[in-house]
Amino acid sequence: MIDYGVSVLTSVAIFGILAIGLNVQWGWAGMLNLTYITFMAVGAYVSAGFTLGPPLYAHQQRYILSLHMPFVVGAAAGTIAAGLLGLVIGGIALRRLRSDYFAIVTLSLGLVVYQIVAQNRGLFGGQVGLFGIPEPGADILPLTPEQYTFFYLGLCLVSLAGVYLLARHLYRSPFGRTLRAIREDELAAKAFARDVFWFKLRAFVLGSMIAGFGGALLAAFVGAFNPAGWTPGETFVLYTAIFLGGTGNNLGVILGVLIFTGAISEATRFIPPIPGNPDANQALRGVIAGLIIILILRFRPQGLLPEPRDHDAARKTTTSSQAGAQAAS
Amino acid sequence: MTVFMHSVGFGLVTASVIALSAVALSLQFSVSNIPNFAHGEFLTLGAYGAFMAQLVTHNLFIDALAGGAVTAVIAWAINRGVIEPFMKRGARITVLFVVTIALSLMIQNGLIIFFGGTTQNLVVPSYSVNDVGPFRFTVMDEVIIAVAVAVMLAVHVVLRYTKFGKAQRAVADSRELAGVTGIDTPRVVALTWLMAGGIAGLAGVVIAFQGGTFDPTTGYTYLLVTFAAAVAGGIGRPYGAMLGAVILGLVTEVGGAYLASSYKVVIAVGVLILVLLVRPSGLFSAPDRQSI
Repeated sequence: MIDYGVSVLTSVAIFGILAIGLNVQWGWAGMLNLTYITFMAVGAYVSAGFTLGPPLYAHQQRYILSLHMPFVVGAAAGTIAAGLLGLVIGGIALRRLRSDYFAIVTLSLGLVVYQIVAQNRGLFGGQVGLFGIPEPGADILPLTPEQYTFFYLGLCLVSLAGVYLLARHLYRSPFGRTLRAIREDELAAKAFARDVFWFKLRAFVLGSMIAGFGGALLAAFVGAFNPAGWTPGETFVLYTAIFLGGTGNNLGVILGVLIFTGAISEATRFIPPIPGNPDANQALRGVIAGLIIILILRFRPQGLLPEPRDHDAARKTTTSSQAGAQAAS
Repeated sequence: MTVFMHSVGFGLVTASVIALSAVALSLQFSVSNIPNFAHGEFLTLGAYGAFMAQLVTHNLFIDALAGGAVTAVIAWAINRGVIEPFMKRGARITVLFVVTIALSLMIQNGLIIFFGGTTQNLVVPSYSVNDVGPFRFTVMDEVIIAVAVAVMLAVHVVLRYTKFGKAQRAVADSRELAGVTGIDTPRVVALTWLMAGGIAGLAGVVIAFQGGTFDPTTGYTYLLVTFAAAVAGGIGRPYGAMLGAVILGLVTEVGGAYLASSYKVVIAVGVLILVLLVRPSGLFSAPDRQSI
């Protein structure tokens, strides 16, 4: 039971990191990235490739890199790789596209990356993927496997705290303010001589890097990674958490992850399976996710924890406490 | 050369399927102004509608009509129950787009809960194959092409020669102006969802009939290629969508014959991205008419 709790909390911490990165893109800057999970995957693959040793012939595994480096190096490489992909995809998709076409283009480019990774066995193991990904520090720390799970939970929680503090700092900085201005009214931001493309691109790359970092943690946590782990649906899970917790609010999206990933999704695992329909429980999570998105957008668009607006400006307007609501209406 | 001509033949069949799907998407988008991410699920619903109808009869014509009708009603209900309340609150397009994403999730996963995630089989006869000129078609391929052509003609007649079609074009141009002239715009939009749902459902039916199998994600796999065709033709222009479908059908099938077939979708999204970046108003539009 404790094992289970530790495992759920670890994945909540990792998904919290992922949700903050997506919140930078969607919550702050209003960029509907439908392939966010691809950046998580790139971080996971590259980090795993850096930390794994050469493929074992007996496993018939094939992949590039295999550098046998420490996790710190792998995580950094994964973060940078995801950022570089963000630079490419953001650079393409942010060119003069309105928001819904932007979303479609991100989805399309993500699909291209997905097919390339899934169809080329020599790259990251194709459909088989990578497995036997080393646990960070397990070889040097004198811990039993059970103690190690606590250590890894701690590592993920510290990482979450670090990413959260970074996001909080940036949110209050001129950079964060400008992004929210762009989200509310792109034309007005342009009129104040802000380079909208440049700000959005930086936010996109920042979000991608956070995704890559989260991916590195996830791959090391699960120990294996393959294309089944980053289908487009995974991105919608994160969006559900963001809408639920409070679009734009960094603390809110962590709350959203805690409720949706940690509680609701986990609860569906305990529903007895329908005979002959092994996919029903997972499908139920999808139905609930869709239902939550629609109900939140309809009845409480600001989410459970509305985006604070107080340190933005001295003068308060009647809508100031519902900044997230504006983004979502 | 035979490979090439056969792939051109496949391309024409695929183009017919995409044309049905893309015309529905384009029609619904132009009149309601909502980019519908759940469009793929309309195709899937059509297939499941025909599947349910097979419990009653194995007459493929009746099954197809049932699939189209079921989807038409569901599309109408989605507009009435979900989209309209958001429209009344003046929600942004992005929000409505997210709502359709949520609907897509719910429909796709709802079908998995009710029918299971496995592939379903329809009772279809084994189609005889015959060579038509340089092409090789099955009887069903020929039926699909005929159905697509008939539906395109029907859409054309409705849009050009009926009062309803005139109202549709007016609402597509400007909802406010159409409303001012006394057109019951909510009704026109609602009936357009019905019409687009029916055509999309029919597209799903012919996909299921062609292969005899389908699953809860069948329609979703056509979503991006449908968007690609609609965008290439100039989104919101049903006639452009027909041309876009022909281009997409030929490009993906001919390309897929020489590359791995799993790259068909990559080719399709390549076209989509290129058109959006280079010529977002569509390939056939006058350069001065920007629709984005």
